[in-house]
Amino acid sequence: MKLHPRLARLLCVALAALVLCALEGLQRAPVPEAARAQWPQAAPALQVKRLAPIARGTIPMPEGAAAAHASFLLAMPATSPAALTAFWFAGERESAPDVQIAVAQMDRITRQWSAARFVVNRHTLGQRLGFGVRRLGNPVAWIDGQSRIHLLVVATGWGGWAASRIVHLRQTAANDTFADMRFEPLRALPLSWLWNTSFLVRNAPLTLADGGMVLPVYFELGYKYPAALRFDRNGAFAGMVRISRRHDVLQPTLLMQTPQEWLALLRTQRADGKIGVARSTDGGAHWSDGADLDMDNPDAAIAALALAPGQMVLAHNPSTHSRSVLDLSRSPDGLHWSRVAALERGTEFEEYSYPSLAWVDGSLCLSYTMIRKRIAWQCFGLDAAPLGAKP
Amino acid sequence: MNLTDWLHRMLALDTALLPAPWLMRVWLSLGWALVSAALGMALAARWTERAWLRWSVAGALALWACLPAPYASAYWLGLAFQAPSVVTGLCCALLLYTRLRPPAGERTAPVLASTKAQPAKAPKAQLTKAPARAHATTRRHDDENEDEPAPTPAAAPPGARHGDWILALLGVLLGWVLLLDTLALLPLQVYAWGLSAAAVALALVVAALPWVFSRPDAAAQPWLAVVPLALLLFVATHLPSGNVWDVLLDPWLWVALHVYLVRRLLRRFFAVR
Repeated sequence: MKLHPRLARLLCVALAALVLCALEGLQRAPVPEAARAQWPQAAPALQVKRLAPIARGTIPMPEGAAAAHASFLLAMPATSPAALTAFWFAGERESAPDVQIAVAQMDRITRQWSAARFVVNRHTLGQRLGFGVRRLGNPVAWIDGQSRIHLLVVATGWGGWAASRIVHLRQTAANDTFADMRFEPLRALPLSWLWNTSFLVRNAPLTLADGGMVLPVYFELGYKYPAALRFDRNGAFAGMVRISRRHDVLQPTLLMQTPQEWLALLRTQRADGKIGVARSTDGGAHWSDGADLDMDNPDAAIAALALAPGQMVLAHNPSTHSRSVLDLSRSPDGLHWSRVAALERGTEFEEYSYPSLAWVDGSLCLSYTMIRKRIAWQCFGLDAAPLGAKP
Repeated sequence: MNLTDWLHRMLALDTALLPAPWLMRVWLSLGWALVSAALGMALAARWTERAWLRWSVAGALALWACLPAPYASAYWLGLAFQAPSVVTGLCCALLLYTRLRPPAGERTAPVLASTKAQPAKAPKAQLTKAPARAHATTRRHDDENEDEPAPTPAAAPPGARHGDWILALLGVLLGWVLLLDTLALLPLQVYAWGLSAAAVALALVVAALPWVFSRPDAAAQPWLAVVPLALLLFVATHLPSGNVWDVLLDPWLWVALHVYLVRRLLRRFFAVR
């Protein structure tokens, strides 16, 4: 039997496609199970309303840095002598050529911060990546299944923040001492076809029960929308999902209600600024937009953390026009919030913004930008339990 | 593994496989070296007929792309545009190859068309076929490259040149979809689909359609092998980013395809008149 030449070609192409597809599929890891978020190490009887302030201060700045912004607090494993590691960007000013990523650690026993030092420099980063980096911005950190810190840093290309990419770096060796902490750049995460531009990161990832994480990111070139990236327990990028169909929301912060029911609270860019909401009921596989929270927000970053079932906290600027006030609120469901602490009350021209939250040793700690010059921190404990006590 | 599991695995969007970091750095240099060399060759052909000079320009530009950072042109091009797509790189390589071994007048071999009206980074648009009947009669003499043998005006099989504009049209459409998707103006998440294994098969089938439906007696057209070869390289290395769409198309190639299609339409329009 002789096939028509075109049919024969079609069969050849189909066969080749099947072979390529099979070769590709064989190289890939098995499909991961639906994502299930994990509660932080919280006591089952935790009551957020009992949180009491126990300590506060400012984190030492690296020598010569006049400005600081966008801090991120990373809770360290119980085996580490440090309770917290803070990352932020510092330099002459935001978006200055000399901005680098700084790091400092809080000792678990003494609650003292180490001297800060720089760990990421745009020149060396560019040389290691093979392509240039104009500016450095927000850092976010996470610890993988091998106890290595992964650092995800905003790095701009040709343009301003809207031309940013997210560069993924990994600690060269797990459990390094603070002095030896080094990061090797892996790649710019492939998130957009348009020269891979305009994706940024700001808020903390949601830790998954399988050891992986879901990282909230956002696009901000004209239209602004959030997305969630999934990583496996080794920190390998696995996929991405868009969080919202709105075009005026950014900087999502993820909040678990149950292991598979999540909220994304969103900074909105509107004159009557409110906090936006998106919701997923299947572990972040699909999202739907919800009604905005009845909470003012001056187009500023927020940070939320679910400590235990029904126990959620949110650090935010409760105003439509100013970042001079910073509050800590609590909620049983992520939708209805009440203030538990006034973190800062500044004058009209002062700014207290970009909070980051972490739960460590039974204490809730947060850091935030103070007048764009320093990074301030505060810790709250259950009945003022000292930091360092086991939960 | 049963068929359902296999299909699930092929279609999964959360099993992305990214290239090794060192391979990405290699492709960044190599890709921009190929593009730079092809552009250098095309530009040099505008002002000199000396082959050694053209190759010197192309070689110097390629070498510049491969210097250590930050002295390499690839370092600065990568800052703005990341790495070129594999299809762009292969097209440029094919272009250089045809310069190295000029076809002896075969109507099916790629030749370098005019670069006068093309943007600086438009390698794909420069890759075109020797003219078929209608094309040969409408192309201006100065469109032909001086050191290429004159194309044979003998009749090419009808449809022999159809594949290139169909592929170009598919590329243009894909680019528009990806651009709208980047801006979240589509209800779908097309870029994320490029992380699935099934996207490789889909891309191969669509890219092969011009060949499947071309006349059986049409002569071999090497440029039709570019996309399958790029996909094969993707399966082996996952360059340039781990996403299939980045293998097929980058924004500069997309712009170049627009230029190519517009030029082709204009030629057809004026030929008809």
